[in-house]
Amino acid sequence: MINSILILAICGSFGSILIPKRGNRMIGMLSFLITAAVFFILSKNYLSGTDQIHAFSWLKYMSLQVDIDLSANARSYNRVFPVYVLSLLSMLIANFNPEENKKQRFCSLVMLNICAITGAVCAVNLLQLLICSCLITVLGFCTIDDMDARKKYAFYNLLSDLSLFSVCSLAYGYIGSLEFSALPKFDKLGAHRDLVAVLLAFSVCLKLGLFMFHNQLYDLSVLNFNRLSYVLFCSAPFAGLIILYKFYPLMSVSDYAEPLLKIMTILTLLCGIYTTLVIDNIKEKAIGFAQILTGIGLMNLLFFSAKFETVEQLILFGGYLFVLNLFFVYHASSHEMKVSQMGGFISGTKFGFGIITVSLFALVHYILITQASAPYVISIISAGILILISSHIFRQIFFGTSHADERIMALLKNPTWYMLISLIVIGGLLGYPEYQKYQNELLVGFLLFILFLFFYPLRRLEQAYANEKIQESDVFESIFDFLIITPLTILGRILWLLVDFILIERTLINSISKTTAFLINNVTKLNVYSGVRYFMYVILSVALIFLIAVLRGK
Amino acid sequence: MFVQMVAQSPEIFLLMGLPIMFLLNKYRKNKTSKTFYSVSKIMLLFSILSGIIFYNRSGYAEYVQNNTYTTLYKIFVQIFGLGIFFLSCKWFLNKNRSSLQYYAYGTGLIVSLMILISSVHFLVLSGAYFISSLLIYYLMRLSSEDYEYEMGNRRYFVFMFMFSLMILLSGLWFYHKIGSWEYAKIAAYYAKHAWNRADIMAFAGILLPLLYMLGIAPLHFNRIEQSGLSILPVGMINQILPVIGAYAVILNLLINVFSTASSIYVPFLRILSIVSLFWGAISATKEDNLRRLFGYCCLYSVGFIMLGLLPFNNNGITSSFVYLIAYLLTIFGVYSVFFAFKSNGEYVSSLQDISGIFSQKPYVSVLLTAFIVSFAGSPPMLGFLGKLQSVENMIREQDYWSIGLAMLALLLLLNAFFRVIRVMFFEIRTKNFDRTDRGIYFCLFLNMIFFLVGVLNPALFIEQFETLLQPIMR
Amino acid sequence: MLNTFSILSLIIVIPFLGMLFTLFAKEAEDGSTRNACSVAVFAVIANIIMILRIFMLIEVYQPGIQLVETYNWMKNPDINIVFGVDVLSLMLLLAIHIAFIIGFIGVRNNMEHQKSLMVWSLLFLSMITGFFVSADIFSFYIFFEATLLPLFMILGMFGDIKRREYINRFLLYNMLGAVIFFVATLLLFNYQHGMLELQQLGNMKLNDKMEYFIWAAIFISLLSRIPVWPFHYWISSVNSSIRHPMVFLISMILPLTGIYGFVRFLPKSLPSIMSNYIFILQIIGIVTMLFIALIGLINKDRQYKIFSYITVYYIMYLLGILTRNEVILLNIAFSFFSYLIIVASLEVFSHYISREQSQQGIMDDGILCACPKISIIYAFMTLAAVGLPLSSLFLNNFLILSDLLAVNIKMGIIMLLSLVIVSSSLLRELFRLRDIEKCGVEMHQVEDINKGIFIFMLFICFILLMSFVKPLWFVLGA
Repeated sequence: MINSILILAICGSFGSILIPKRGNRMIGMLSFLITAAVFFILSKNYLSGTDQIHAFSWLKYMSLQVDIDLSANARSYNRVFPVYVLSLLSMLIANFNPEENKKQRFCSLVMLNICAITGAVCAVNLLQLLICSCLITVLGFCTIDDMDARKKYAFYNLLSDLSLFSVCSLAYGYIGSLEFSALPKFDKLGAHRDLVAVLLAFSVCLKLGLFMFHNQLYDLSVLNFNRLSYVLFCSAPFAGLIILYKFYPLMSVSDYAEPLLKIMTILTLLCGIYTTLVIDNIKEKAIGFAQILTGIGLMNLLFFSAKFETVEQLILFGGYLFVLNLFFVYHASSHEMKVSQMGGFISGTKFGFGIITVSLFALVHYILITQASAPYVISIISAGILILISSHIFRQIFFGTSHADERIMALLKNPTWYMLISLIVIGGLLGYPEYQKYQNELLVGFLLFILFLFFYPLRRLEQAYANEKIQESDVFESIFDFLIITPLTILGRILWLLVDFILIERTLINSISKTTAFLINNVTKLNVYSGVRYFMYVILSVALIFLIAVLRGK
Repeated sequence: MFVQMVAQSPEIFLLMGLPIMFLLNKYRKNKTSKTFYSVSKIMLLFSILSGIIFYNRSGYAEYVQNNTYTTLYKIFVQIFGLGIFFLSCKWFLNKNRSSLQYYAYGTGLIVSLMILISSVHFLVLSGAYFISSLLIYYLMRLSSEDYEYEMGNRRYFVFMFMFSLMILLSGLWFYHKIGSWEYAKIAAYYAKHAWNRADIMAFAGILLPLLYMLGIAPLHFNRIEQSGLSILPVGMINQILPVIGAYAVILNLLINVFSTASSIYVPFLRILSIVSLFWGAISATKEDNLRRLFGYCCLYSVGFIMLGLLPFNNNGITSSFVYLIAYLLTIFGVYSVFFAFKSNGEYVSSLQDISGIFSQKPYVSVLLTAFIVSFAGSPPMLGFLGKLQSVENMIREQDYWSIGLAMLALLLLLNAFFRVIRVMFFEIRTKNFDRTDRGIYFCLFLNMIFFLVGVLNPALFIEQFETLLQPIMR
Repeated sequence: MLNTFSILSLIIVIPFLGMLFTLFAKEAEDGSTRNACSVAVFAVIANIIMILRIFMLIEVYQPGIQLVETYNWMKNPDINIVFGVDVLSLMLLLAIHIAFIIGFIGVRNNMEHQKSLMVWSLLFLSMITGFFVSADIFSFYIFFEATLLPLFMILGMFGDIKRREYINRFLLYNMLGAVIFFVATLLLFNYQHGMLELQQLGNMKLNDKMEYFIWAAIFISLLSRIPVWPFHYWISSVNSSIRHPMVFLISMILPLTGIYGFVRFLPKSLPSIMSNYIFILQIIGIVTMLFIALIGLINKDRQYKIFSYITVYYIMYLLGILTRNEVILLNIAFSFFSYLIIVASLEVFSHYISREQSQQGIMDDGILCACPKISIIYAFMTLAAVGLPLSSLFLNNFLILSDLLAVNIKMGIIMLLSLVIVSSSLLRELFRLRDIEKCGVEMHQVEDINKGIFIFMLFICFILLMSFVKPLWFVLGA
């Protein structure tokens, strides 16, 4: 593990520093191959089943003793591999997708991100996770190549990291240990439990882009599809998942944090459903779907105590697969962003529709599998939601009335080879396990999907595509602006005027200046060159000496 | 007779210089200010040398007595006199004016101050006081002849005469009461007898003229008035030499003669010192004439010196002595810089005239800044040493009110100093300044050496001189 | 007697000699003062080498003052000038020297009063070095006050038409502080009947009456240097009026003297009277923090934003010091190391951008897109400043905050809020400067820094990064 990280880190650093005028794709492909080789070696290690311990002492001060742990075991492999798979596919797509201009840079950032994620996954102490989380934020920041998208991403993640920072500080302050294994002690030794847990929940919500904090994710819709999918699944939101998992013992010290997170999960799920159904922008739909899967995944984790690995794979693979499908549509329609401007694509890309249908059922199947810990009804509802949403989106795209212009219709394409590879890999990973377990449910689902394609029960929602208010409303930004930014700005101005200007400048400084001026004016009046006045001073001096003598009784 | 003459040789050497100067003036054709400066210099060097040799010998012991204390101050008068003469020579050369009167009166002033310092007889004291005041008056008359200045001179003459008369009359009162003019007998008398109001009046008649010579508020009027109008060499003499003489005499009298009246003069001097501090600090802030501005700084310094001295204990004497040395070196340095402030052959004295001088004379400006810092008592300059000693002494005496007031006055004075720095460094130059004479740089350099030695090794001032101050130590 | 070649005296003397050489450096025929600049840089580099040498001479983990040099300055009163260093003072010194070099880089092309600037800067450096190596109350006071003159001169030289006002404020606050400190020093000296080394201050016992006054005096005089309300006013006035990196840098280093004073003067076990003062100070500190952070957020001036960032951090350090926790103290030293370098770099490049903006007559939105080298450095420094793990700031702040939050949660939360606000305002500024959409500048319209400086700044970034990866990496065997 340590060697793989070192190789990736060195190659990634070089790749991001080098600015070659030519050979952008070549270096990108080289990065891909190196990552693939690393993945291959790691897979071999994993299959051999031997644990490797790689822990070394980083800081050995009295006040702070930190070990960096990059030990490889089955659990860490399980958690890291999905990221590797997604990273490799993203690199592959980036190298051949003409939309990607900075192939080499993207691949290098991906390599570095893998290192940071590995560090976070393997972390056994708070500080290692905190550092890796910050690094993931920075690398995500670099991966996002749009300034507006960066802004929100950076602010939300900075807030999240600072909250996590505070949580770690508080935890360390009370329990005196940085080890995750010591976190349960906080319940006994710690104080301000509610604050710590709520701050942690806040941090997780921000990282994952849960309800109220999802704006940062929607702003990513300006990125190209490949970068968008990579950031959505392998960057900050994934770090949020790891944080949630690793810090879970702290969450339970308060009665408020977990319910809060549960409420946010459900609201996120609803928000995702709303976006995928109502919002016209195909990339925002992709983000909405990522929210849905995050919601489902967290629901499993928080309500039904699902395994972390299962949830992680559901969100990463499931989400990525669905986004790939939308990516294909976007690609087929010559980069058309609005679903309302599509329709009737079945005539040009039947193969594509077939692929999408198959991959969707792989996804439905996987949702059913991963919800094993949840009640059966919940699994069925989740799968139903997915079918309903998919049918709503893809009906309009493939069977709806065409609103696309002739040029787009003429240029409709089937998936490119690298998309196909990606779809096959992910679809295979989702569909393969226990493929015979939910045959009946899948059959029903398939029939429902066909039914929905023709009877489309949510057709009224398509009217929302034409509603500009719905399409462009940014409620939470306005709320945050109104509730936080504006009051802070007004408060700042008032303080500036009141404290700095009126109190100090006008009162304190002015009164001192005026007193000094008064003194100067009056004393300098004494400096008059006149014999009479001089004589008076002499008399005064004599009088003073006599006065003192009299007072002293002489 | 011969032995007596030898013992008084420091004064005699200087007096011998006077006829030599007159003879040279009469018979030598190529005479410049350098000629008279050379005579004064040689005579002063001889005087210093003989003063050191006969530091504890007195020719007329009933009138003047020398000891380490008096010799120390006399040498100060002579050394600073020599320095002033050296710088003044440049001034007279530049102005192409006759310097005979200046050097003659100056030498005479040094002699009279030396006698004043070593006097143990009130008749001698009043005589020396009168002569030195009169010589200062004549020196002042060398300056401008405009109406304002002339009126100032007249005022000085009136007050100088009045104070000289006060000393004489007070001396007469003590002679009338005790039957002797001598310090020792008067001190012995008051050690046994109480002070009555007439005695106090006589005491005031001696103390006030000396304080007038020292230039403490509110008796500083003539000093400040003249400092702004008199020519540079005279202003420099006036600001340095009488202060040394008056300080030495006051200390000697108050400790050795009138110590029994301390309950009167200590609070009196405390009030005057504090008034000086504030008067000097505040007036300097608004003053535009550079020499007067530094005159007010001197007023502040004199206040600080007296405040440090007040308990009249050994620590007080040492601390005020250190402050005095710092003051003397600083004011000497400041006046040396004034000699460099020359534009088109004229010595400028207005604050506005030195606007932006830093751009043309950086070294001089930096040196004046160093002296200002010293005046302000800021580290690492010599003035800090004086301030440190004085305040330390006040703390020992638990005189916290004086410390508070002194520090407050210092804060006010800083306004004036920073105004000068601001004008020199941050404003646009309006005048073109002439080349500075190397001799002035030499003087400044020497001054800075003293500063450095004093700061790095204050033991030189404090420990070495402490032994010399033994005659007035308790 | 002082050993002339003793190393601690030498690091005070080197900048002073550098100042003298700079003063006498001849200007080139074209009027440029490169000679003065080169001499100044050389003096600072020479001192850095000496400081690194001292790092090798001391035992890094040994508490207390080391390499003590004593010089009997005066017999009556018996005053010894004592010099000594510990890791804290050395870290600060090293950071200040590096910050000075960065500052010199920032002004190398600015010919206005350059020679004078170098002279006064080196004098300031000499005095501040003296301040940090002083180990007794007298030398401490001497250098405490001696730092003011060079700053005053620099402020006067580079101020605008309103300089008279802010110089007056500067004097009012600082001279008042210096005068009070002088009296407090002498009171302490007299009360202890002799010499007081800074190390002994921790165990000092005073009677109630004296304690009340002395601690009040020390608090006021040290606070006069720190931008705590209402003492922040002179620094904020200076920073909003003077657009000069070196002036900003020096006026920003001055509060460090106040902070360091608290480190040295606060006794290990706080007397009861002091706990009242500390309580008041905590409240004022916290309020100031939030207040300045908010003003920084609304103020469009980039320099004010940097000032608000600096202020918030200074107050955080001050509050950390007031806890008297050894761990916090050590971490503050490490943190300061990165903090000073980051602040210096931010200010220098911020000024560079402003100058280019005014020279080209362009808006500064997106200006960094036209100068990629500056952009990299500025972005790195901003990200390091906001507390990402790019410098020792991250680790040390973690420890400082963990203790402060444990001590007083309310205070800690407001502190965190202030940190968030200042970080946000710095980030917003970075985004604005890198906003390619609003960029109205073409690639070569703005002059980027040259390769040499870029490499040097990358080296500085590397130093910062190493301060995170391995604190004290520059000390052999540490």
